[in-house]
Amino acid sequence: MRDKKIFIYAEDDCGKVNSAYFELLSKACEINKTIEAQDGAPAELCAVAVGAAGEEAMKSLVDSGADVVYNIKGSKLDVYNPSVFSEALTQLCKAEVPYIFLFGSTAQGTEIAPTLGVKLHTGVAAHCVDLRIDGEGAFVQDVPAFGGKVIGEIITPDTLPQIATVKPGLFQVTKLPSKAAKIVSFQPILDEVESGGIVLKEVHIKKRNSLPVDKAEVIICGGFGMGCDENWELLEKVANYFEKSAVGCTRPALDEDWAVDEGTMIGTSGKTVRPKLYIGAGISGAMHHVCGISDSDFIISINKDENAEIFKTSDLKIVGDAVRILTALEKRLSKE
Amino acid sequence: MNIGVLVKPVPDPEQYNTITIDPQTKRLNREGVPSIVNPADKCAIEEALRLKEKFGGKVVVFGMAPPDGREKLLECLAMGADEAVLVSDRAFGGADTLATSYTLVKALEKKAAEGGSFDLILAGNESADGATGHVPAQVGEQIGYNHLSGIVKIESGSESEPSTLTVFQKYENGKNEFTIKLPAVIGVSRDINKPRYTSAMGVIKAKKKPFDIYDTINLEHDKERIGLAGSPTKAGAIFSPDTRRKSEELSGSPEEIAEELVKRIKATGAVIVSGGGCHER
Ligand SMILES: Cc1cc2nc3c(=O)[nH]c(=O)nc-3n(C[C@H](O)[C@H](O)[C@H](O)COP(=O)(O)OP(=O)(O)OC[C@H]3O[C@@H](n4cnc5c(N)ncnc54)[C@H](O)[C@@H]3O)c2cc1C
Ligand SMILES: Nc1ncnc2c1ncn2[C@@H]1O[C@H](COP(=O)(O)O)[C@@H](O)[C@H]1O
Repeated sequence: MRDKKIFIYAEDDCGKVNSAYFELLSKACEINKTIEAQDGAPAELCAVAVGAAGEEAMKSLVDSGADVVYNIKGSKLDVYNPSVFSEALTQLCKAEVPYIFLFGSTAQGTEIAPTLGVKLHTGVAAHCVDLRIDGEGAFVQDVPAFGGKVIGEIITPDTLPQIATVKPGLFQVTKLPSKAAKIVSFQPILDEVESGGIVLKEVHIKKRNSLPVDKAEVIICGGFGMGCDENWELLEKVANYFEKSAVGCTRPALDEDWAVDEGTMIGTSGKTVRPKLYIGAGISGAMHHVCGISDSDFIISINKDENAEIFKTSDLKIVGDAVRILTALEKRLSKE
Repeated sequence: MNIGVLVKPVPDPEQYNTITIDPQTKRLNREGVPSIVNPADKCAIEEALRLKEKFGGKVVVFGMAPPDGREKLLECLAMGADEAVLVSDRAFGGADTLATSYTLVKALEKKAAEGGSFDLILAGNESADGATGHVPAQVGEQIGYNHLSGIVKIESGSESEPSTLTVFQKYENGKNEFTIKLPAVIGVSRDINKPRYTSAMGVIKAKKKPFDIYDTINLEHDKERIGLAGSPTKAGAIFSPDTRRKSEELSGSPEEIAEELVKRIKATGAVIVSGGGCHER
């Protein structure tokens, strides 16, 4: 009998399904192999969409490789409202009792998951870097602490669902064969729910003139050692020599306003990236940053301090002044 | 406007690279790493002080920590907060975010019953050590207030004390602009402001400000909901991820290095655009 259900939050991303859903589904599919081996039957993989999921989003969910798509509908669910969304999801969880509920650590996920934890009185593991079922059938969630320097295993032994959020960009998407998922409509009772406490007035979408760092194949990343605005432009110039490239930054570079787009910060409180090539200049290598780049294929670092921590995590190390090296590199690239 | 601010003492994040795991005991070794007030919580205090300057009222800081957390709360008083509550008892230890936020809610309720209810509770968006970011939402949910996290700007309008705030939340594609009715719990990101420096006068005044300590004796609570027993999540083994790479050194003049770099870069599969005109990145 298939009595276990794995729920995956299918967040709306401007009419499409947020990519975190597909990453989580791929992981859930992997976990499911262990569940099948241990229980004799796999868990049901369920996409959970709240609000008026459009046709395009519905189609991609049905074809995503999930078994079931829960479509939660209601008049108060047209616009994102964390308290109403959480209530709707709570009612679905009470009706269906999922075994595991996964969310991307997006702004929505990090608001809703802990709220559900309170409403359902269960555990929530935050920003997991890995998930697995161990030999005894426990759902083990690896959570980072101290900026990623330490990873701790977390289990939720006595309560359901076992809720986890996962940082987007960490799990790779495997294309799964479509199972033409069954669509189940769910209408929560929201008459009593106050929807005026929090109101989404406007969404200010930031226009970007380059690829988001988590989609880039080449990242030229600058840190506090870049020193000033003028030097920062050098990163842009070097990035311009590469296809599918982006300029990334560390926290101090953002604080100094050299980098203007918070979305380009890499690390614990920023993005997790996995480019083919990462070049870091003037970066010390704090774990808060390193944990966001450690899946890069190739890491080159430039730092004037030969003992900089970042070198330990680098394939190639260059001890020297970042401005001089990048200027020479730019000149050399111009001859290509 | 009465504002409660949640403050967590954390080991100094600048020194996390020195934290190790004892290979024998498998325990964390963070010897010599001093505690500081969690960076985002300082921003929460700063925001609270600005609101107080505008609308009057008081700012009360709450921290759940071992007894030495007292010093960190004194720092918050020196920065300008009016009162502090240290929630401290062995039995509160081992708490996950659900039990932590339950305990903080009990402390907030006790203080409110004694000194007037809170219109706003501010927290850092995330702690530097645990960094779950769950506590603001879970405090909000358990105390029954509206709550939002990831806030990078709070607008309070002008003149009279507001019943609603306009807040901006950082999200993946930009910013969400919400209105939120008070009372509310708001988790603020470090982008929201630059915390003020503490003056010498502030340090002197801090010692004379009201300072309460709540423990399991004077704080009414359900003992099934605090500490380890009140935590649905259990912690297992810890390990340190191995991020080491071969760290081969390139040396020479900048020109020589650049020459070699281009070769290495090509080997990664990165595609070079001639002329550097890749504006459609
Ligand atoms: C809760 C929390 C979350 C955080 N999240 C993030 C995050 O997501 N991302 C992030 O990046 N940080 C984050 N941080 C901050 C992080 O701890 C570090 O402070 C930060 O990564 C350091 O950035 P940096 O390397 O640019 O600066 P620094 O540590 O100041 O290093 C500058 C480096 O530049 C070198 N240098 C100086 N001049 C030159 C020169 N001319 N040429 C070459 N090298 C030079 C120096 O030797 C030094 O190593 C977080 C911190 C906290 C507390
Ligand atoms: N033990 C605690 N005492 C007081 N405030 C806390 C405590 N733990 C967390 N907080 C608050 O909740 C925020 C988020 O913490 P966390 O959920 O641990 O990332 C922190 O920035 C604090 O404002």
